[in-house]
Amino acid sequence: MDFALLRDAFWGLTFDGLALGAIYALISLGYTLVYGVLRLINFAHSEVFMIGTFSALVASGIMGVKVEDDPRTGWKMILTLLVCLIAAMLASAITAVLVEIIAYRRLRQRGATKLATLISAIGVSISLVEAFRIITHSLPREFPRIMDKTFLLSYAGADIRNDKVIVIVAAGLMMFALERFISKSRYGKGIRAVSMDENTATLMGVNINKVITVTFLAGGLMAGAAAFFYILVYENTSFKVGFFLGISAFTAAVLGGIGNLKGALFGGFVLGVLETYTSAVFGTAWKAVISFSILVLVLLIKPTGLFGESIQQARV
Amino acid sequence: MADKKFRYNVRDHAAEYWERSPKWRRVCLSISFIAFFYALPFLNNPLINTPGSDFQSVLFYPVGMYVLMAIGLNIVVGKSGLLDLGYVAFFAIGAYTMAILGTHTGLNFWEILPIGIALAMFSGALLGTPTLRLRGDYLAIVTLGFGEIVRIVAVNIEAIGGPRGIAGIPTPPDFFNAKFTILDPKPYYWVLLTFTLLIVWMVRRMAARRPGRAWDAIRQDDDVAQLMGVNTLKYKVWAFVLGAAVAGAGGVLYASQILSIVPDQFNLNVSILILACVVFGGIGNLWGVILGATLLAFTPERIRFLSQPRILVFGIALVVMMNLRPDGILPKKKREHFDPNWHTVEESGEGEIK
Amino acid sequence: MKKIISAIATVALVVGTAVAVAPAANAACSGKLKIAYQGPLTGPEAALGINELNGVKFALSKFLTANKGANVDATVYEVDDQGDPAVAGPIAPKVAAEECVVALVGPAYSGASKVSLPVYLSAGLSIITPSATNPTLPTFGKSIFHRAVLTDDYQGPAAARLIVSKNKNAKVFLVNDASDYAVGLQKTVDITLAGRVVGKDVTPTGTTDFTATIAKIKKSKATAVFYSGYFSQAAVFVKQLRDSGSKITFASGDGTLDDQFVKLARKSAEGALLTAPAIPFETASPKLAKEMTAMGMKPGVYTTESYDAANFFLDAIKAGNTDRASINKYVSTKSHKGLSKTLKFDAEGEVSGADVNGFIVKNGKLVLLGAIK
Repeated sequence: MDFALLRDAFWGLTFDGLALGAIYALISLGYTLVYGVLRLINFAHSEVFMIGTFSALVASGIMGVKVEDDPRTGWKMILTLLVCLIAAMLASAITAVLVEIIAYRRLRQRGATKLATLISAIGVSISLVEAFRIITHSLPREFPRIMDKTFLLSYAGADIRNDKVIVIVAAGLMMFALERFISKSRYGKGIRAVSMDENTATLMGVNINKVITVTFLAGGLMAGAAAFFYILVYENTSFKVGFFLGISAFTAAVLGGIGNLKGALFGGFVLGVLETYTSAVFGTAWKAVISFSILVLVLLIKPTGLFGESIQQARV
Repeated sequence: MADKKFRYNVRDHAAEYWERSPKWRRVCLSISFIAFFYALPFLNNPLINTPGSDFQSVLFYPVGMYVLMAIGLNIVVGKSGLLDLGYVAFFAIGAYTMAILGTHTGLNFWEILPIGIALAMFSGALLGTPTLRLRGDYLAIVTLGFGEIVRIVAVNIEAIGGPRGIAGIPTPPDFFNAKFTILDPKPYYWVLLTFTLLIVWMVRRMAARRPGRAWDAIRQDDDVAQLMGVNTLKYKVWAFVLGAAVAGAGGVLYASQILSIVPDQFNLNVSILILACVVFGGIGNLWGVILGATLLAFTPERIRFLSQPRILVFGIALVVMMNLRPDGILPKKKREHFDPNWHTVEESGEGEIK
Repeated sequence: MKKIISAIATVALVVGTAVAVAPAANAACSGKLKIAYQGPLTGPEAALGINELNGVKFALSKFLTANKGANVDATVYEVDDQGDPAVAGPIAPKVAAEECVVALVGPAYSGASKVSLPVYLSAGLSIITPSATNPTLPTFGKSIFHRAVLTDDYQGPAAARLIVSKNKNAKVFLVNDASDYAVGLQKTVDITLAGRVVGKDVTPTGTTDFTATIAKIKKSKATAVFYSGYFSQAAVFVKQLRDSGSKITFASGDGTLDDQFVKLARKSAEGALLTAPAIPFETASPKLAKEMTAMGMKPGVYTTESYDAANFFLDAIKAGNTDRASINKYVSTKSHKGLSKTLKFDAEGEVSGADVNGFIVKNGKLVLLGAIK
């Protein structure tokens, strides 16, 4: 146990943890939204993320960036990055909606048990992972460096890198936008209504199917953004990238209180930082063990997560 | 549902038939049924043969093991409604007990078996007591975490083999004339079958008595059950511990057959697969679960000839099956639809084939 | 009446089951002889298995082109164990029972080997594994076990010597990915480096974020890091290492020796020191590598060993051996000059007399430094 390392590298670990946490937070929003509205653990969400990363990859290829190229600068760079971001978000959103239509809708309309829907979700997850494994011949893929990575400044031992700053800031903006959407827009109100009481919402004229589609869409968009940020920082992806990130993001959602947007945000950042700290202190091999143990402890004290469940009170 | 009378409910008709049968017919059926399963390894039918893998080995693992574990998980998920995503942990604990004690002490399989079961039960109690107060989906993530924790701990601790696992696990001692070697899975299969039958019998007895009723009550509505005076925590832990015992027993037997184990084979996918067996077969329904487990464990082996897209086909099949038959293959009859013409058998399930 | 009918039905059912049996008679091979390959062909480790399978396929196709009338099946008998002993268990007896399979290249993974070897031993099926490096395997496989790759006992110390030769005062940080292979390799590196090791960390397969590990490395003031594991994660790691500003030497073993590593890590791979008790296919024979790529198969890690192993078996068949026992005897006693090394197995089935080679990544290419002294 190396607490000295944590002390010495504290700010650096915190900064890096926040960047990781931003990605977790964006993904966990998808889990929490779907759970809030459908009371369902969307197992296929990790693959929605995975598909986003591959779309960003394809988009970069279409933009003419080759892996061996030097990073771009100025206008070209911003344009390329934006295109990849949008591609990832769109692809993830479309995947999420398709998953809902193919795997969940029928079961939901027939009033099937949650467990049945869960197994269907698992089937989708397995299928998508396998499909991409076959497509990529089980090999990971690299993402070209479009933006040069430089250190903006060094603060108290922490090296603040430009790409991580972008991730943290951009993620924050997206989450803010989502929150505005949920609390202000018509569909947002619909989502909150359905998560509160589905039957009454229908009686009040809310179109359930549309609301659910929008929920998946929103979650998918966030996951797509996360996918882009992930590939920007880590520059690689593979068919199995969704699995570990999915578990961490889901843990983050539960930690914050599943069904609660603020909780997902908070849970994501907290888990990102926590994982980085515990890796430093206990060694990376024990990271998952410590994270889960902390989750259990939190749940024992506050059984509905840090912020409890309340998508209806989505106001931050 | 309007189409109810057109749907041929296999389970209910079978239950009815059983009910109508006089004792001698029931005995005949039971005996031939059981004999069929004991004779299964000798079956050589191109329809059910597994190209690419040994049919008899497959009967033991994954089919037999998954059936056993599905029955165990059914107690937890199906009967009591507790979502457990980390069930493989108990299987691992049983297997590791056999591995460690088998290689370090002189105990044989039969002596290690109760120890393995006890350890699994203890872990079940340890995990269950603090966490079973949690609501459904929180329990899911916590149990998932537990499953992963057991695996990661096994990988990281060199003393129990680390990532290389443990090899050289001894086989059970000769039983009358049956030799337990890696070449001949039959004796293992028969031991497993006997375990399974014992557990089926045990579960059915419990289901008919107070534990079963308590589990039903908890599954349907935890809060109401508590209000009615059921000590929900106690029964939930019981369910958990029993489920763990079943998996632990399976683990001990498995390790003694495979002779060497590595921690990475006790991963989340196994837990998920067993859960799929339970749901696929028809939650809470013992025969459905057995059928579901058999199908889900058997199919990937049967379609081995597909090679590359094998698992993809499996995943798609899962989605399709759940969408077509969300209540599982042999669903429980729906209580909510009261049909006055239907002669209901006693609601708790006494006398039914579950 | 009903009683009698039911009784008859019961008896019929039981008897019928017994009769349905006809266990397939164990016929001797009536068709062409088959070479089998066992390894992960699906699942997360498939990339490695496919590399090796390609080596076997290529050897087979070249053999049949040169020996047109040979009684050998043109298709490799593929055994997919997904690198998982649980999967390998039920498959092995089936392979052993397949009379026409007279030789097996594999299993690729040590875990699967442990489970499969006892079965193959009792069936007398000769095996040569191109990549399973666990030193205890000979005890499981005994007379049929042969290994075309040097174990970690050789590679580890060589890697350590390579690092020290570049910098006498090297301070080394050790990282492994918690796989069977990596743990074994790191152990031998650790022992050889002795006092020079300044820190360790374990980053299990699937780790994407190495922030903490890199912080540890920085704190330990190491001048070199040795990564035990496979190329895909090694690439991720070295990229993050370089992006964090660290310029320390990066060294790794044969699991990383793959073009994919350079492709994935690009500039970050520059200057990486790699070791392998092997030669990459392209270096061993650019001509053959071209041929192979033209056939649609790309050589990778361990392709050379699989190619050699398959060819050794084919030598045996060409010399007139057509059953398992004689083929096993042939490979156990004779030798074969392969691309990677000369295969001459000792009593334990181990190969010796081979060098561990050092490589460096220069200008985006793997360059052979030569044998490590």
